[in-house]
Amino acid sequence: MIRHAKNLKPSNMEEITEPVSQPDLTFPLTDLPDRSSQNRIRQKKFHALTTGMVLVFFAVLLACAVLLLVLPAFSSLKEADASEPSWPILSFDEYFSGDYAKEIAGYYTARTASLKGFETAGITAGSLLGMDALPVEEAGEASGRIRRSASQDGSADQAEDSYLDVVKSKNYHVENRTAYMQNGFLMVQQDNHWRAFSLYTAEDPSLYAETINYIRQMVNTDVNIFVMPIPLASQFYTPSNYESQNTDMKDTFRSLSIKLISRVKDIDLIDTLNNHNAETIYLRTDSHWTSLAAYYAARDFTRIAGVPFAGMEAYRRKVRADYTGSMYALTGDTKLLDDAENFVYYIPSNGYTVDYYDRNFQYLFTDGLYFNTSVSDSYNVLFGKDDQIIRITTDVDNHRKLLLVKDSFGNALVPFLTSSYEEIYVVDLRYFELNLINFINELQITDLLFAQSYGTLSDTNAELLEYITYSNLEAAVLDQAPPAHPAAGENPDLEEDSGNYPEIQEIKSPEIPTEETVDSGWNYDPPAQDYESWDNTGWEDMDWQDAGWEDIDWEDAAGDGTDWDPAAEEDISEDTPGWEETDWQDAGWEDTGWENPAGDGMDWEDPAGEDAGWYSEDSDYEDNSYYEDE
Amino acid sequence: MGYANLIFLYGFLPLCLILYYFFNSIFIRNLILILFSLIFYAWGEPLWILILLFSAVFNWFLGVNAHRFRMESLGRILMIFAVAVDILLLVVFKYTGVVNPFPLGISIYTLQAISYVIDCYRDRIEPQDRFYLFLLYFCMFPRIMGGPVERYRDMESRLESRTISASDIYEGILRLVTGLTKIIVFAGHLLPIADTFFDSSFSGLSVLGAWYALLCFTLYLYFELSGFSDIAIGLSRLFGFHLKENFDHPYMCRTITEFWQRWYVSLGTFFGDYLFPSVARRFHKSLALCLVWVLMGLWHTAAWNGLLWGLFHGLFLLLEQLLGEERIRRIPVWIKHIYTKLVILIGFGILYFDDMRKLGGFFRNLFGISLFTGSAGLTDPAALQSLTGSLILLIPAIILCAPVRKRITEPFLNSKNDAVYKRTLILQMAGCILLLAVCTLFLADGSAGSLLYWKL
Repeated sequence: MIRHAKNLKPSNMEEITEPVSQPDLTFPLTDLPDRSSQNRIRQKKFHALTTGMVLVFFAVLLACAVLLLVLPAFSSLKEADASEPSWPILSFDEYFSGDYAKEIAGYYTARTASLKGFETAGITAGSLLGMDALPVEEAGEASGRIRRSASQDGSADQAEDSYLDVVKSKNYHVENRTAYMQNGFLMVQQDNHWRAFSLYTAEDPSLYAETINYIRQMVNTDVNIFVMPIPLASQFYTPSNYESQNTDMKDTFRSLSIKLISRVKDIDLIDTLNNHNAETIYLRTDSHWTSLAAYYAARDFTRIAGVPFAGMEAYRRKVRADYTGSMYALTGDTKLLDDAENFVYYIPSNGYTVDYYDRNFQYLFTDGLYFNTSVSDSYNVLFGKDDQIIRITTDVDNHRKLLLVKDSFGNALVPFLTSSYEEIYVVDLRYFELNLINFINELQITDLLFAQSYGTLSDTNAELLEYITYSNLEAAVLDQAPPAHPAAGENPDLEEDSGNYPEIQEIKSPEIPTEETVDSGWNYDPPAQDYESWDNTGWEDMDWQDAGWEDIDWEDAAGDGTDWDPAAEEDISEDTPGWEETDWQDAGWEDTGWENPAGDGMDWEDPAGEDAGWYSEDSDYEDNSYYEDE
Repeated sequence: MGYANLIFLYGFLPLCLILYYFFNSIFIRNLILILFSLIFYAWGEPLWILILLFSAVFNWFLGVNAHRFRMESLGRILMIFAVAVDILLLVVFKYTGVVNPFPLGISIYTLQAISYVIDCYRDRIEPQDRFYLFLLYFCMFPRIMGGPVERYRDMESRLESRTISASDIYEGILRLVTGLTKIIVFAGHLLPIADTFFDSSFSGLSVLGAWYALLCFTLYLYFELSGFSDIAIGLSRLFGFHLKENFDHPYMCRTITEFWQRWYVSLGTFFGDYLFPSVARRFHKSLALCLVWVLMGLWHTAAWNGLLWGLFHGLFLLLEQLLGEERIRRIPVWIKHIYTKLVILIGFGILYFDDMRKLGGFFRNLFGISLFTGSAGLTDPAALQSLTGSLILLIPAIILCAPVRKRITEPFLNSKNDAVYKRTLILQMAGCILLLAVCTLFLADGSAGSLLYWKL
């Protein structure tokens, strides 16, 4: 197009020339109605009809607007399990960040969705459009297609599953199986193996959600808050004939989700885990999930949190055979004892240090993540116990600091987060005695994750959360641990490896403790108050089952944690309590100079003859004359 | 706030319409529109409204003065300064990643501002001396999210005087509901399919899966962007404005040149009017063409793959120019259709992946290179299952890429039989109400996937 502005002096004007040849950017006709005279006459003729229809449309629109606002107030018109979403609380920060507006929109949508039949109709319509035919549906995010095969030990390097099997597994209500109740727990036989778990009853997460919403308002707006309830085994393994006694955890999640404000991100693990339910994601003889399940959960979480995540190839896999967990003791059913399982866990290969604190955040010691517990206590192989605060400093450099508020289920997540965060604090809800908000603010936490199992989102645990949120405001938060700067790959849990680390290492335990042998030393788990009476700097890590004897003043010449090197005087000090309780299962007496061909630790034969007279049927430790002879 | 949510459809819009139609005074109607537009914009992003208002005040002021001093060098300086600041705002807020996500609609209103100032300087329009009328043009909520990029001169005549007939409202309702259906029913359900397959590890994605996902993404993009345009056109008709068409069934094209005459037309004409002449004056026209299309690609997405996508299309445009119209006309139509569909599909594949490695993996799967490495097959059960399950969505989606609605309704609307005409009007409105109900169900259920994935 050429256009010259009028009355312009040529010297001041830049001539607008015809554009050089370019793609013809005119466009053909539109969808505008035909403006022919015939149609215009017609439009006038049917003006009344057109007006009438317009009015009908607006009437429908207004009626819907009013009904959608009013109807949710009638409980008889709502779904049975629908909860009343709460009007968002206005705050300055939330308004200016735009979240307040989003919460209002979310409130309105939630109210609408609670109307009877609405959600079902929507889901049905979605199914008609083929949404059910998608191979995976994970936690609100786009899904991946790599599958693990249905191997018992959950090894990560198997071929992909058939996708059809995965699709079928979306239906997590399995057919009738051999099942019966035992001491209030359900025993289920599946693929010739027995499994025990408790059925889930509905819970009201209102208090839990309210408390988290309050935390959201009281911490810095930059803090990302996530709530990731961990499903229980009953969600995936309850046979049809017991379904009516088991509440669908999805209902609880929905209820929780509606109650949480939009700036708290809820993460639904149910579909994710269901897509892997042919793998070993839950222990059969224990109430807990497996490390593999925690891996999938951590993967979902890190994706949503926007932090790095290391794939399975970055972990060392360890297997403990003949594991029988707590369900055996709870049910008393010997089928579980006779059908022990493998306990698999994974050790990260990146660098980290782990500082342990007591419940009041007083620094105790620095160690690794893993402890050499007995096989029967394998679930505590991580951290050893729950009633301590843990800080993990990693070789990740992203200035993200995670606070994980967990119950026992949350432990298994931690190894899979060591490649995601620069620092991780782990706090067990049951054993925390500071104020949670102060803790978050003082330590400048960037990400807060609540990872507790279903069944703990209400009642006592919700009250606990409420307590640590509102109480102990004066409790000081001061991290007195030495600053830690782990180098890449510097990892206390892999230090003992020679480098030729076997892919599978089986750690067999002594026999599973019976009541008679519970105090025999190796499995001795004294109550906490005993620790304070021990005059030994190393014993404050509290548990005889703590391994690593090597890290509590006992020199460990052989390096396997069970050698007693009496060269360190305190090793053989008779003042050291508990000697008489220890079960000397010949752990390397050969390196103490005591010949022990019998190998049982208690029978001192003296084939060499150099300590003639030394042999005695008594304990010999009291035979100080030997030393005098030397 | 977006258009495709319940609070907009059943809260914001009815309230706005009630107030708008209640008052007869054009002045009050304009104020109502401005107020609701600012509320709409500030709803989810209260801070970014400051950018919008700053841009409005800045460009209005400089437009007035660029026009006043157009005969002197000062006018040119003011015009260049205004354009530079507008571009700087766009670059800083959209492309540098300083702000994430970037302010809503910044791509739209920035181009509008640039067109206004340049037209004022070139004396194509009389600058608006009343700021509130300029603000109405600048931030009108029907257009702010997804366009079209409307020129001031096309709206000027209706700012102070407009009539609204029953037919305008009727047609506005049809377009509005059409747009909502495109976004909620189609776009919202096509994108999850593409995401599901594209987000997986490519070692497992079969050739069929790759093409299937690509098809879904291509359809999604059309329905999302044209849906927003339909909503803009429909809503504007309700308020008495007639906007130009922005999408004209682009997948019916027979050349890439024609594709760009049908795809986001307002953007193409903007670049053609304001950018191409200046660039072509300084560079060889082929280079100018490629440069303009690179910018076109960058406008669509604030990532390096937008640049690549624009260049990809620019090269094909150049190729067609070199071939010439005569030679192109001689090519059989079916070959032209295959050629254009392939270019469009592959181009949108480039637009999807902003990660070079993933883009490479995508191409390996798409062209079957992974067959030779054994890492993927020709088909896979998941893709087959999803494809067969979503045919009920895909087939209508593909059909609706053609001007089907017009072809079906036009004979009835042009029928000499009044009864047929009446019935057609009634059926159209009944269909609208039904579609509105379906959209409401999807919105309440939340099953429509992520809407406004494509932020402009």
